[in-house]
Amino acid sequence: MIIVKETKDEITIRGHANYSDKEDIVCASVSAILYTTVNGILRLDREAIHYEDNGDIVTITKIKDDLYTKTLIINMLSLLKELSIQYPKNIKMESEEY
Amino acid sequence: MLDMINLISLDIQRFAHVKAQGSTQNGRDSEGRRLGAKAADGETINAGAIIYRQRGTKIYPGKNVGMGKDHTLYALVRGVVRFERCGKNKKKVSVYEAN
Repeated sequence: MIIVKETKDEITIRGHANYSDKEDIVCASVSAILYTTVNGILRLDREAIHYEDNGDIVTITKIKDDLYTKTLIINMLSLLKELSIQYPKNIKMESEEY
Repeated sequence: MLDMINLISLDIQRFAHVKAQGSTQNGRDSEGRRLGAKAADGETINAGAIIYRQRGTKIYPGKNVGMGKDHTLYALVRGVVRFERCGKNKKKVSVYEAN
């Protein structure tokens, strides 16, 4: 189960989708959504976020709160949310109210 | 021109529990051909019996030994098998008739 957790300052993604041994489409979707967003933000402004992947947990720390960064992060979270609705056994969204 | 270098390289299996292997074109092999000696040195064999299966002439035919078109060595007479040297660094096999 992949767990996506959003707080005021950061987003963490951890776990494994476990959808399928060979063709894990949920894992691939999460990866694609994540890398598209992170690379998009960093191309616009390398200082806008801090990205870290320690092999277990991916952490995106929001540094700047500009329109582009906010929009792309909201877009990522909404896509992951939609994925979690379609594949509730493989991905779950958590968020701390702020 | 927009630089095409990805800042974070795409790992599409980042959240996969089991990393799927890329498909490969390899993974095939032919059945073993069971080459090599079929009769031992000092063994008595009948005429026509196969002595050695080989690719090319690893071992040459000697006395009373014939060679097929696939370089298989076989006895021309009933007798005892002898593996011998042939020149400096070659080998041959002969069959000596048992008296």
